Amino acid sequence: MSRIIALVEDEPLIRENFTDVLRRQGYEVHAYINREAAMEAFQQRLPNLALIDIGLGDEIDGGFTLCRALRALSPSLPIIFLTARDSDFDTVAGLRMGADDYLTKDISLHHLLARISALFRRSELLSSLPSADDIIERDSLRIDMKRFTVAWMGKPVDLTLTEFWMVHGLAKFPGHVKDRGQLMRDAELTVDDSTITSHIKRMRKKFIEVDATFDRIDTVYGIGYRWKA
Amino acid sequence: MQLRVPFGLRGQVFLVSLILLAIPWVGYRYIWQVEKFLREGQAHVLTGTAQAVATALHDRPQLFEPVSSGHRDKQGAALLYVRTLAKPIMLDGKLTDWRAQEVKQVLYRDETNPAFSFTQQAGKFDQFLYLAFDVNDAGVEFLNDKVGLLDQTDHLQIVLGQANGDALRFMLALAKAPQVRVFRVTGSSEETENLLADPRIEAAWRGTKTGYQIEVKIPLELLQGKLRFSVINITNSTELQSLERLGTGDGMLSVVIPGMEIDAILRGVSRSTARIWVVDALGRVLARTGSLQNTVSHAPGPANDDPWYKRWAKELHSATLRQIYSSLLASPDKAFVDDLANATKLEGSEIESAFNGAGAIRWRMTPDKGAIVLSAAQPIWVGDRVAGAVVVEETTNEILALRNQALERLFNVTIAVLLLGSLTLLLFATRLSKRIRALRDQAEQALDSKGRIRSLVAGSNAKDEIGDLSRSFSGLLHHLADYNRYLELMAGRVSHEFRTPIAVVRSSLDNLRQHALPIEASIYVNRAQEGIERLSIILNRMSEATKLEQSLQQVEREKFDLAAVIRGCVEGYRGIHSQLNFVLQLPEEPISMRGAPDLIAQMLDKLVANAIDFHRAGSAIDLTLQANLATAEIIISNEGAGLPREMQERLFDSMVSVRPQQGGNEAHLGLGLYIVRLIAEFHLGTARLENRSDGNGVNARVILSLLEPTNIHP
Repeated sequence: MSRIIALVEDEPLIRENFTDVLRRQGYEVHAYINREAAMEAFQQRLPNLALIDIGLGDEIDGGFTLCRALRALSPSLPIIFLTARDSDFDTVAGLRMGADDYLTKDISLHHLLARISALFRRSELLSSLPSADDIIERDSLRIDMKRFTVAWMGKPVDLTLTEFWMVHGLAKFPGHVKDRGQLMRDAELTVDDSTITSHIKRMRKKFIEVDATFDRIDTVYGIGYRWKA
Repeated sequence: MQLRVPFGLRGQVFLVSLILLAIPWVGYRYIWQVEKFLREGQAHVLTGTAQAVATALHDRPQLFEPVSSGHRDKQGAALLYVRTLAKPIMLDGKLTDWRAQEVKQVLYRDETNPAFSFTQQAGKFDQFLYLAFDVNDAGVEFLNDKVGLLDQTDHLQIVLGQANGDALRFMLALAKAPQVRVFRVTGSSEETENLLADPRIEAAWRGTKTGYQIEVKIPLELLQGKLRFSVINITNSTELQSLERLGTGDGMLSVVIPGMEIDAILRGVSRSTARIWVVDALGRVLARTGSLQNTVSHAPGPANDDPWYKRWAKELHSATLRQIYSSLLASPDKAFVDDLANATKLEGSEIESAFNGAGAIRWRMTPDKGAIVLSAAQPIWVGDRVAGAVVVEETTNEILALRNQALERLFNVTIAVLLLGSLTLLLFATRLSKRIRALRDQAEQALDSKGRIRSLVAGSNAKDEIGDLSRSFSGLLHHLADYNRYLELMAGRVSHEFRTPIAVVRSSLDNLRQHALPIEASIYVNRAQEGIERLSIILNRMSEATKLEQSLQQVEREKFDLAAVIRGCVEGYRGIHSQLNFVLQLPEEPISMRGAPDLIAQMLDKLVANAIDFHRAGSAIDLTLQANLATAEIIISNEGAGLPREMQERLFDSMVSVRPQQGGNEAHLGLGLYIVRLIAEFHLGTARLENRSDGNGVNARVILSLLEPTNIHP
C-alpha cells in the first residue's frame, strides 16, 4: 500500500508539478485547492504526510490553521510547510504550530523528496528499537540516524529535519568549524546566511530547554559554527 | 540651506509701518487749517467788535473835535473840547509836552490890539483838567518886590459853572515864576478881602520872549460842564495903569471831554483780551480800553491731587517732550513789547482805509517779534463825514497757544500710536517670522544629510496660511515617507511574489528531467536549471534586507567583545580568501559592547566583500578598530578606484549600487550597504563610505555606540 501524501496548494501549476513528481515516486497524492476541501478530506481519512502551503486562496494564514487542526487530529503525522514566505516570523510561527519542517517553494524537488522520505522513515522507526550502527554518541549527545532523533543527556530534543541534519553535520566532527555553506549542504538547504543563523539560534534554544547550561554550539565569527568537544 | 535673509519679514513690516508717519503729517496739516480758520474767525470777531463800537459812536459830533470852531451845544453855548491826554502834563509852565501830544490850539486875540493875544489848549489827564495859555504880552507884570497888589499883576480869571447855577470864580495871579497864586473870589468884586487862597487849583508859569506861558490844573470834581476864562493884561506905568481883558467873554463855554464819554461807551463793549481805540480823523487817540498784555492760559502743571503715575507722567512730559516742542513751536510770548501801549496817535493801512470809509484789518508783528497783533479798524461817521475810527486790537497768542496745545496733543498721541503700532507690528512680524523659521527648521530637519526622511513635521493646528502650509508640508512628508518605505520593502515583496513562479519553473524542470530527453534537449534543460538557480539566489539576496529589518525587531542584545568578533571574522576571511592580504589593527584590551555579534559579523561580511570587490589586485585590505569611552570605530580600507562624489551619501540606501553593470554570477542589487546601515543603526551608530584622503582608495567607516542603549526600539 502506497503512502498517501496530502498536498494543499492553491497554485495549480505547482500543485500539478508536485503531484506528478510525488506520484512518480510511488506516493499516492491527494491534492487540495484550499483549507475547507483538505479539512473535509482529513476528517474522513488522515494522510501519511501533509505538504501545506501557508497562504491558501483568500486565507493568508490558512496553512497555519490547517496545520493546527491536523496536529489536533494526529500528534505524529509529519507536516511540512511549503511556502513562498521565508521570513523568520513565518518560519518560527510554522514550526510552533507543530510542523516538522519548513521549506521554501523554490527548493529543488530532489531535496524535497529526500526530506519526505526521511520523515517517513522517522515516523516508521520511531517505535522500533534502535540499532547500534545508527547511533552517533558525542558525550551527552546521542544522534539516531535511523529515526532522525536527537537526545541530550538522555532527554529527546525536538528538532526539525533541517535542524537535525545541521546538528548531525556539526557533531559528526566535534571541534571542526563548519562554514555556512557546508551546513547548508548538510541540511540540503538553499537558503541564505541569515537563515542559517536563525536555525542555529533555534537549535540552541531547543537544547537549552533541555539543559539550561548547554553551550556546545559555538559561533566562530566570520567563518561558521562548530560543536565544542 | 541656512540662508539668512538680510531683509526679513520684520524689516519689511517695519518699512510698511512707516505709513503711520502720515498720521502726524495729516494732523499737522489739519491743525494749520484750523489755525487759519481761527485767525479768520478772530478777524471777523474783531471787525464785528469794531463795527459795534463804531455804530455806537456814529453821528455824535460832540464827541469829536470839530475841524473848524464854532460848534455850539443845544443851548447855544460855545463848546470847549478837551482832549484826553495820553501822558500827564508837567506843571512847569513849559508847553513842550502839549506840543508833543499835538493838542489843538485855539487863538484868542483882539483886532484892536494886536500886541496882546493868547492861544489856549485844554486836555484831560486822570481826574484833572489841564489848561495851557501862551500869552503874547510885551510887559509881564507879576507879584514882586515892586508890585505888591494883585490888581497890579497879570492874572487869569477862571469861572467854573456849577450845577445849581452858581459859579466858582478863581483868580490866578502870576507870582515869582513859576509860582501862581490862586484865589477864589468869594464876593461879587475882586476886592482883596474877598479873595481866598484856594489850593485845589494848581498852576505854574514862566516867561517867554514874547510873553509868558501858564499851565493850570483843575480837579474835574470842580468842573461841572461850564467854564469861562479870560486873561487880564495889566500894564503898569508911571503915568497910567491900564487893564486889558481877553477871553471867552461873558458866555460860559460848554466843556466837552469826548474821551470820557467814549470811555463810558467803550466800557460796555470792552473785552478782556482786546484793546479798543477810538481815534479822531487825524489819528489822534481819543480813548482806549483794554490791554494786549493778557495772561495766556497754559496747560496746567501737575496737580497735587493727581495719582502718582499721572504726576510722574506729566513731569516726565514737561521734562522731555515739552522741551522739544517749545524749541520746535513758536510759543506765544507773554512778555512781548507792546509798542502802542502809550501811543497818542495811531497809524496804519487799516486806519487809512477806515478814514477813507472802508473797514479793514491788518496783522502786524510787535517790534520784538514776540507776538502777532491783529487790528481791525472801522470808520465812525458823522453825517457823511468820517469823524474818526475805531481800532480793535488783539494778539493771536490765544490761537497760538491753542494751536500749540493741539500740536502737542497730536504729537503725544502720534508718538504713542507710533510706538504702540510699531511695537505691535514688530511683535506680529516676529511671531510670524518665528513660526516660518520654525517651519523651515522642521523642514530642514525632516531630511537627514542623505536625503532620508528622519522625522515628520507635525502639522500645526493654526488656522491661518502658515498652519496650512505646515499641514500640507506634513502631509507631503508623510506621503514621501510612505513611498520610501514602500521602495525599501519592494525588494522583499518582489522576492516573495517571484518565488511562486520560480517554484513553478523549477518543479517543471525537475519533472522534465524525470523523462527520457534527447541529449540536445537536456542541454537546454540544464541551462534553464542554471538560470533558475541564479534567479533564486537573487531573490534570496533581495529578501535578505527585508528579513533583516524584520528580524532586527526580535534580536536580543547580548554583551560581547567587539575586538574578538572582528578578529574571528578576519581569520575567517583569511581562510576563505587565502590569496588576499588582510591587515588588522586592534586595540589590545577587549572592547565590550551590547548588541548582536552575529549582526556585526554580517555587517563586516558585507563591507569586506565590498572592499574585496573593489580592491586593486595585490593591495592589502586594512581593518582597524579604534575605541574611546563612548564609541568604537571600525575602518575597512582598500586601495582602488574612488567613489563617485555624488553617490557617496546615497550608497547606504536600498538598491543603490555603483558597480559596473556586467555579466557574472554575482547579482548586485545594492542591498549590501543598506544592510550595513541597518545593522549600524541598530547599534546606535552610523556607517559611511568615503574616498581616502590620499585619493587612492575607499574607507568604509562604521561608528558604533558603546554606551548602554537606553531607548532601543522594541
